[in-house]
Amino acid sequence: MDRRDFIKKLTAGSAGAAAASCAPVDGDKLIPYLVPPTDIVPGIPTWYATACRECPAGCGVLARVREGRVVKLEGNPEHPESRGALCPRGQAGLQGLYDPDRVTGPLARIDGELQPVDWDTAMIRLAELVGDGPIGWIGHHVTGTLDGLVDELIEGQPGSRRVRFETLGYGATMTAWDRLVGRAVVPSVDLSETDLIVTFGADFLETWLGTVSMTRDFAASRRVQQGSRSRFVQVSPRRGLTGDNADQWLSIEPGHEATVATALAAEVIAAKGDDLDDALREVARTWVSGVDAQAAATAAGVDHEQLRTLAGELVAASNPLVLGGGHALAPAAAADLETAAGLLDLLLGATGRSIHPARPSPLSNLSSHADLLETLDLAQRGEIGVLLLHHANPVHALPSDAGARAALEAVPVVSFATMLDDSTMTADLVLPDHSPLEAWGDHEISGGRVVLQQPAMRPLHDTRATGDVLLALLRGNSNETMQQAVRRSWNALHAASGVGGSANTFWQASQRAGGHFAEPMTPDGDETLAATELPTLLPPQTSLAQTADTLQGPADGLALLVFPTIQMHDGRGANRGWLQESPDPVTKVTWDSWLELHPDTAASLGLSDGDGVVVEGEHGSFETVAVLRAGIHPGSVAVPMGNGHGALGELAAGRGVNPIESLPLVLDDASGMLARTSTRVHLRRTEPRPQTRTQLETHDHEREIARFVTLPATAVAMAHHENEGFYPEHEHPEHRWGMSIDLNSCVGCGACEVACSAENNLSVAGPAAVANGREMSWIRIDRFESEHGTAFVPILCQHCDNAPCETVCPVNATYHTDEGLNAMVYNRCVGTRYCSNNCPYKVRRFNWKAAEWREPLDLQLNPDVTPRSVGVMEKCSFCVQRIREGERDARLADRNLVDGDITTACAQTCPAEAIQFGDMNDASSVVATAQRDERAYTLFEELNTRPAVSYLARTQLPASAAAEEEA
Amino acid sequence: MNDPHAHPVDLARIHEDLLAPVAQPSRSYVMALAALAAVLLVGGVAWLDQIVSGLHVTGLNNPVGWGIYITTFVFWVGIAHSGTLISAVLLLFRARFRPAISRAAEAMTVFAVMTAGLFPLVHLGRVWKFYYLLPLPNERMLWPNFRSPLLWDVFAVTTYVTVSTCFLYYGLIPDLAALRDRSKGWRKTAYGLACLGWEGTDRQWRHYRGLYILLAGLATPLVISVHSIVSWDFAVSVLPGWHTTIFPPYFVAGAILSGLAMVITLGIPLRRWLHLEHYITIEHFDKLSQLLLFTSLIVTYSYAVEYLMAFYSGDPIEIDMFTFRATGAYGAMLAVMLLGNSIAPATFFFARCRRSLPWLFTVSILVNIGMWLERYWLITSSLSHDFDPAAWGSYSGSTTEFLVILGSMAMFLLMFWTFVRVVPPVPLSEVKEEALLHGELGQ
Repeated sequence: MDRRDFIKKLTAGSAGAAAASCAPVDGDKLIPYLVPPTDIVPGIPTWYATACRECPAGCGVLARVREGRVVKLEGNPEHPESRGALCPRGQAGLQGLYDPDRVTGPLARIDGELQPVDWDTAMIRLAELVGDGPIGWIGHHVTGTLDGLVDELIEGQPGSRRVRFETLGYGATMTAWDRLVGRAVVPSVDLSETDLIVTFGADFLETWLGTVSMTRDFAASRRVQQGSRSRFVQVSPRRGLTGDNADQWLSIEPGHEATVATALAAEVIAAKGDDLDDALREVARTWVSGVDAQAAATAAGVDHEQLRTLAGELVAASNPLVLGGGHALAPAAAADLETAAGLLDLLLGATGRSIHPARPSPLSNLSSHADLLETLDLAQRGEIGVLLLHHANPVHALPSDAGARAALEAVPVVSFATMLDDSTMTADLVLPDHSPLEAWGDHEISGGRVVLQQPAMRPLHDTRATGDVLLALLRGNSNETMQQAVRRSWNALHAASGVGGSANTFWQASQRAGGHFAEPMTPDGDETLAATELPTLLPPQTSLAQTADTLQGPADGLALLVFPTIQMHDGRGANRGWLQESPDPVTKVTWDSWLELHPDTAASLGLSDGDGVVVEGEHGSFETVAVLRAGIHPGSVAVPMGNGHGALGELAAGRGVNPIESLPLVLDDASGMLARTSTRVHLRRTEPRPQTRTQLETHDHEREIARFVTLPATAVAMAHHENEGFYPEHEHPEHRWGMSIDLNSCVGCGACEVACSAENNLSVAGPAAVANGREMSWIRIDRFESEHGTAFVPILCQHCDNAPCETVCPVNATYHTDEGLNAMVYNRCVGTRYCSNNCPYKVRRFNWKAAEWREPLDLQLNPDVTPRSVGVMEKCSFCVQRIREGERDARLADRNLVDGDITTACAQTCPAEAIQFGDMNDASSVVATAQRDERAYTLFEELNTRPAVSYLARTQLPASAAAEEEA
Repeated sequence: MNDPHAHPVDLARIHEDLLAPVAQPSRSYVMALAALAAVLLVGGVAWLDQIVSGLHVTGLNNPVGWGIYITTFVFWVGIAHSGTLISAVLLLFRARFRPAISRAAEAMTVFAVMTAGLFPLVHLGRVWKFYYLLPLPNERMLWPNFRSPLLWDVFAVTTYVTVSTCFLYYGLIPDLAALRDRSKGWRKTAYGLACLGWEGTDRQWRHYRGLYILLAGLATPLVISVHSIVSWDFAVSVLPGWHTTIFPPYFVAGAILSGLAMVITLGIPLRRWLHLEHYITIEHFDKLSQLLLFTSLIVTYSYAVEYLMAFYSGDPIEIDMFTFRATGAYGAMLAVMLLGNSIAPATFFFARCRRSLPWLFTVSILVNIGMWLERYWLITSSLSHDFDPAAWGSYSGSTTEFLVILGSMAMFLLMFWTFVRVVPPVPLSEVKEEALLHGELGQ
């Protein structure tokens, strides 16, 4: 072989090897655009403004799209309520789109089994089933165009029923405001200007109304101004995440919420005296007449004096607000509780100021459980020919005594769903809906403002938007699509809005903004409701006086509270790994249900933390794991809802328990809402179970991780250690990225954790790994209890200037960049884990096993972030890819970076704006300013690690605040 | 006990006695080696499984990044210490009880440090990239991090392996020549090559002795340095319970203690099975146990100082750590440690205890257990209970880890027992020299 031959063979060989290595296994092309679409540049993200549909709130989102697939959701800053933030559920909406267990095509029941069919068959089957007789529609909260289409369908077939069903409904609130002001509405609430909030359990930071906007407003009211901030008192049997943020918690016996609220109203009437409008006082007196405040307080186990003090504080406050039980508490007297709370708002003048019945939320059209039960009953009796489910899961939402499954099995059921949940499993026809990120829609939020939902990517599967299916069903072959129908609604909105310009300009502006958010005209005239409008309130039902006795079950049992959590909500997202692995903010449980009980109760029953426990009720029993905490009344136990699905998908099925199933079917007579505090249960201890909790120790052992300052003073006592480092100082010539976390604002919701998972391709470790301490989160929220209160401390890599991890890595896999980042070089890491051992903050995460993404979850991966291989260490990078993107954009635009150009995923999504990110070299940046604040401190400063993350101490109101305000 | 001393110096008999173990292996011996090899294989398979599927097969987790593997690493490095102490330091001090046990101690050193060297590899997340730890020249000028104690470990351990192997081999040369002289066939060739043409001439002996002393001089600082450096893995960190200046002497003393214990553990069966009662005598064990007692006292003193300093410091985190170490499961471990490392060796104040082989063997086993547990106690407690209480965790070893540990023990024993049947387990030439100089064996 001569030289030429050799080179020929060499080139042929390498070309062959190159070709072989490029050849895709399944025939896909690496870059699929032979003729690239003009608006897609590989590597450059496109953002689409659309709507979040993870709960009824209707927040605005911006979907980040790379190469035709959505890779991240962020809040839409133009949305008037969510204002750029998202909650954990909103962040996890992406996994709803890519859920591996989604229904990928129409299914029809053939020979008793759900089998794939094509859409033509499915549509014919749908038309047959719907026929022209009475039908029942059970659908989740929808507004706008789709709402109109459903109404059209219902109205076209006389005798039909429509149930607008949310598991977490607002019937009690609506009944209350109907009683109070004659309007059955869910008022919109604005916490931002309040100075005293009193709730009877309302979980406004978790699930009640819009989590994001409520958190934002609450945080705003907590910001220290002139040495003070709002005060928050919760009166309830259990303090959840919302209650953990309260300054004071009055523990009351479950079942007494309504009487205590009424007693408080009586005290307020007494304290207000002649300040009250006569008519209002008369009505209020009628309502409270049946309740003796002293006796009610004693019965509920609360000091009457405390109640009087609280009433005094409410009267003295300049902008107080009282909220009822929210979703966290659903007692049998829920409507009475909400009425008493609303009455307090009327008495205190909060109505029209912080709570607006005249500006109702669109949630005001929701049906009650009684409506749902009636429709199911009609179906079972054959008076309704077919039930159409639209993202509704009555089997999971109702006690098994309600017989929802039997009702669904008795009639033909059509389900418009994305997931095969327990109710959809009974369907005869499953018509898979688009994910909200693939579909058109419009959603009304409070005050007539509308969010535009537009598809951010092409549908992944052979699905059809429910709107399109209804249009085809209603209009035959008119060929109008949902897109055109939404556009038609939008033209109507344009006409009504009074905005100038063409309909087309209006449409395009709305597409860019994510909706039409102009300040609405007051719908019903004057917001302040004159007392003359007040309907005469009847004294509460006899039940009010002895509500505790309405609890069923053995008298010596413990009251069972069934509550929703911020992650699981009503359970629709239970198949999302991000949500399952995101710890419950209070108990830090992941991947499971649990039972909360008071340590004293546990001691008397011989139960300890982590024991298995069987909850035995008269209507069913279930087994879960015991979690001991002082934030619950000793006479009660609490179990979260949202898990315990029979179906829904691989991650959800069989995980945890659904306590609702074991509740008796008790409805609040006034509102028709299901009572979730309605029975007493017995507990039986079983074997201890592996703890899937990410934090077991709740005290910080005086290590000053969570610091408090008592207002009006704000300075933190900082022990300054001016230690010289062993190694030369780092230089940060251009930028030094840093973070400031305000513990006074952080409510502990965990949105940052899910946002980080989405942004940085964190793998979902699974329950076994979490039980072994191998979760992969780059940011965690430490929750510490102390005599000062509860504090939530988000802990992420502190990007120390003098980092203990850097010196000990034998291979230089982690080092300090000249922008102040503690960088991690994955492909240099050999996995000694010494860096993690030496990290005082324990924020480093090791890849114990290879990360796996079940298809198509792999499509959610952020292409700007390297997925890590097995055996390497990873940790927070301060979203270095976002920093680089920001720097690159500034360079391309030939301008300097300005504060706010760059932010991390956690800071971006924080509804409380607790996390701030920026350049510490820029003395005027928000971060640098915050780090100079009197409340600023760093963690374990005695170690001289010099973190780039500083914390602002949580504030505490002086103990004598109440007395001072009274004086 | 005096009867071996009654013999006149009979060089021919010494020659025969000490070369006798190097013979055709017995069936039971081969069976034992095969069993050890089988255990080693099981350990190897467990490691392979860990490499393929990731470290999730271990019990390690987020706060506790080091566990049984690093414990065992420190344990074996510690074992390796007494070899150098006995052979080099005692040589320099001309301790006359040294020759009888030096070969076994040196062999133990080399095999222990080889076993120890495995564990830094076993515990790596990506063992296939282990060469990143070596300062290999490369075109990207990518060097290891010279500030990292783990890198210092690499240097310390490789230096120690090199020097102790040289020392062992060098001491073997005259004995290998003696074996060459009485072997036939391929064995003669092999021993001939191995002894590097030793002829026993006066000139060779003179050079040999000079270099031997020189090597001993070189090896002596390693007794201090290697375990000091290993202790820096912990002392240089920031963790409560690790970050303390007492660690280097504490670790060195602990290392020598465990090494001496292992010499006794191995020496007693070696003496019995290879019929070396005349050469390794009770006197030798008496001396060894005196040394063991001395190091045990240093270790006990270190324990006391550690606790005293923790509470004297007033640092709540440090105090919390030492309280944690004295309560619960760690408290139970502390009790076993104290029993093995402090209380049991204290019986050696009494001559009767020092001269009872069953008791010696028992104590040596207790010290081995105690010293292993000490490292486990020290490593995992600090990791599972450090600064942020919210990140506290716990650790317990997995089956994989135990199989790998078992495999490593089998590997050590396999190497040791093979070695003592291939070369004389007691240095022939040195024993002869001692006998000629003092007219008796040993003492």
